[in-house]
Amino acid sequence: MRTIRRNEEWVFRLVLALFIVVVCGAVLLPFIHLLAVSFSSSAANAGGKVAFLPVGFHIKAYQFILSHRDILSGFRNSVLQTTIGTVLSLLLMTMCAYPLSKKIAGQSFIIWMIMLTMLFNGGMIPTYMMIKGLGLLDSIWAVILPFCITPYYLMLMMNFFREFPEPIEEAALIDGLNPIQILFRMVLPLSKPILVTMALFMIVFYWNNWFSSLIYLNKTSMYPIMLIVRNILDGQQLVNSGMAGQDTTKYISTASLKAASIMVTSLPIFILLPFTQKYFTKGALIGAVKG
Amino acid sequence: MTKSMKSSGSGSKIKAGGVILSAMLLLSACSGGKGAAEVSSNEVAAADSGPATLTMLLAEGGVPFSKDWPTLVELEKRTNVELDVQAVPSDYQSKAKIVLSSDKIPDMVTSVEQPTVLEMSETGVLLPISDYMDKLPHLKSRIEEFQIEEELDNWRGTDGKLYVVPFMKDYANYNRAPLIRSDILKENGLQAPANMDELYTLLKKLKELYPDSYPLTGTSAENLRTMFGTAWGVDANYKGFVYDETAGQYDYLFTSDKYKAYLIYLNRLIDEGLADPEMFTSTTDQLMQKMSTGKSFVYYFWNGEHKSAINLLGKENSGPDFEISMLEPIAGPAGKKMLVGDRISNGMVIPASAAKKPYFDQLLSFIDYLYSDEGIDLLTWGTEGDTYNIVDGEKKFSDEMLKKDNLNRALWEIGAANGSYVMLWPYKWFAAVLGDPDFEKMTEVANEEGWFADVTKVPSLSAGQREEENLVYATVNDYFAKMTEQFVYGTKSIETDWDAYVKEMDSMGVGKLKKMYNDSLK
Repeated sequence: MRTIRRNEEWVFRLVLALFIVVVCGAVLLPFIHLLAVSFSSSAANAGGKVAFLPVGFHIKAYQFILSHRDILSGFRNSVLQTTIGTVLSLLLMTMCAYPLSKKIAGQSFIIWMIMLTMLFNGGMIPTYMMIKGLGLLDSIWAVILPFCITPYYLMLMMNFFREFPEPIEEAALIDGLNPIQILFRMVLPLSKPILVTMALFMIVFYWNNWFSSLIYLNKTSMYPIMLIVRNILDGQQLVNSGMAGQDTTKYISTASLKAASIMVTSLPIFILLPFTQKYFTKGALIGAVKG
Repeated sequence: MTKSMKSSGSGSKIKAGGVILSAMLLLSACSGGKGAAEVSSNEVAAADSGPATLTMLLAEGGVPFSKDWPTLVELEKRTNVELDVQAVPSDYQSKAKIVLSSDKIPDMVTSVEQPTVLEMSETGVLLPISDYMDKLPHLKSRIEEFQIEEELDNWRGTDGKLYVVPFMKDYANYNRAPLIRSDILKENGLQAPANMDELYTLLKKLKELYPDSYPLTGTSAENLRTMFGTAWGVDANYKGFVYDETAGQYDYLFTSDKYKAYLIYLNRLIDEGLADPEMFTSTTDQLMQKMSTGKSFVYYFWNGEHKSAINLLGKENSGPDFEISMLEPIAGPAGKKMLVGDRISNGMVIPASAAKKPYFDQLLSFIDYLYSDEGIDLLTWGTEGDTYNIVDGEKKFSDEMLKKDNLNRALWEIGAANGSYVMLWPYKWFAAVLGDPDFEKMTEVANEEGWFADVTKVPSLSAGQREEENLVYATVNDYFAKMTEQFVYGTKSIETDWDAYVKEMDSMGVGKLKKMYNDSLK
């Protein structure tokens, strides 16, 4: 009896392990391939010889990207936009989602008004006019404020708060906390999983958001890294002419340049991930209320 | 691990959302932009004698913009202006459209594409350049010299006025061509094909010699049509239509017998394994991989820059004999044709409000200078004695420039060869930069012997018509692209399904478009 159960358990663990290996492979292998491509010579890339190890190792693509005049200011602007944007988003979304998750007057009307923006938007030029009218052009707020509240994420947060055990809030109320204190002292500390998830969403969003910078900002010194990298890639596609007399060691293929730019721009996000992992624990509230 | 899976999954959701969002933004941009900007009248008084400051929206390409580029500084000195440039790092056309719809338009918005020019010409925002031709003598004489008037008509608004300063070429460039592995031909004693039958026989031979290969390859149906299709008479076109001069009306090409013949030929190549099944879906990187490793031997593509790159890569991957050469056009039913011979790529627009500025005359004479011989030499070749020399009456880049890793980049770094303010591109200059005698020689022959298909007349449409056209064309084009693919790959039979296709295309709006275009002629 026991051995059978042990066997079953062993098989289960094996299947689980295999599954995880497959999933890890699916996520990691393309990444490793890109890493290899970014370090490989253009001839090897064009010959399709690169799998998971660089062929004809060189770091030209990275040198090319990192030697761009605006790369540092790009990084700085991206970090700035992402940090301010994420903090502000979290604050505003929490303050919007928490009350809307309670039964209040006009709740469904407000929710509908917010959800409406998922279906319709003003279009690029009217939005530009509005940003301009608000005097936000050429300021960092033009690329942050319009995205602070994202209806889709707001809905996720509302659902989370809706499932928050009411007895905890009631207990806090009885102990003399006002609703704002309840939100910041009781609810938020117990809502770290949703906050961290949202933060990650917002970080990725602001980090990748180059288009609004292109539209609303006019100074190169304010452009984020993504825009600078796009500029580098566009330029490389143009630069192909006039190659007479060049040897292949000097020629950077677009393949390795693209791969290198992906590495450079996604690195900061990858560095963030391990620090947020510990918050992805489910059931932070299990056992908080005796049923 | 599952945790990181979860987060990476949501990351891609965000990206997808972003793509949809920007797609929506772009869509709405197409219908927007009609609000005429108000003309502001609070002008700053002109400085007595100092240089006028002109503002410019510039498409940054290749290298980051610098106001200290020696060529630019020299240009400013010669024309007594100071440029206040706003450089756009990427997606220039979107940004230009927005700027043109705002009420703060720079004096010069460069590199604007034809649809935007035509759309904006309706709004009254742009300066009618044709009213000021007497102040642009160099431009005027260039138009006469190049006999480009007819092509320029395609850029006029419905009122017949020209709202754009064109970027022009002196001659149409033979910059794309059939490219072929000439070393393989030599090795097997084969001849370069001169017509479609010879091409077929050659591909067949190559397939026999190299059974694992797909001799002909390409990147997309549209690219192939604009090059290969010209010999079949299915390009040049305007959204599938061509203007028939003798009948004085527009005809639709993509349901014609010419297009049918073209599809039958391609279908046969695919059917017999002579053409790459991925020839409509490959990226340039994939194409270069197939060519440089000997998986394919013939294709239509850009020659100059691409040719030297592919030869470098091919020699490393397939041995030192590897050689790709460009060919003259392969003749088809429409004759020995290749490419549309267009010479106006895009244009620079000026806001109507500029006419009230105190420096308006200086603005016009600055632009006019860009069309003068000295202006063109400075902006394409650089400074004489420094970046180029005149040897026996011919301009040659200096040794110092030729020694650079990349000549084109070296030119950009001094502010020359900049696509935003070189208004006129001499083909001799292209040939010198590319360093490819074939390009120069064939461009000359191409212009003499008429290898280029004529640019077709663009129908003159009002803003409302253009909106309707966009809607109808989107459905027509989707169905057309789908059916072309199915006919070529044999999922639909050309023999049995062709009539149904023609009927369906008509009901989808080809008839409506045709009527609209023909009405515009009246």
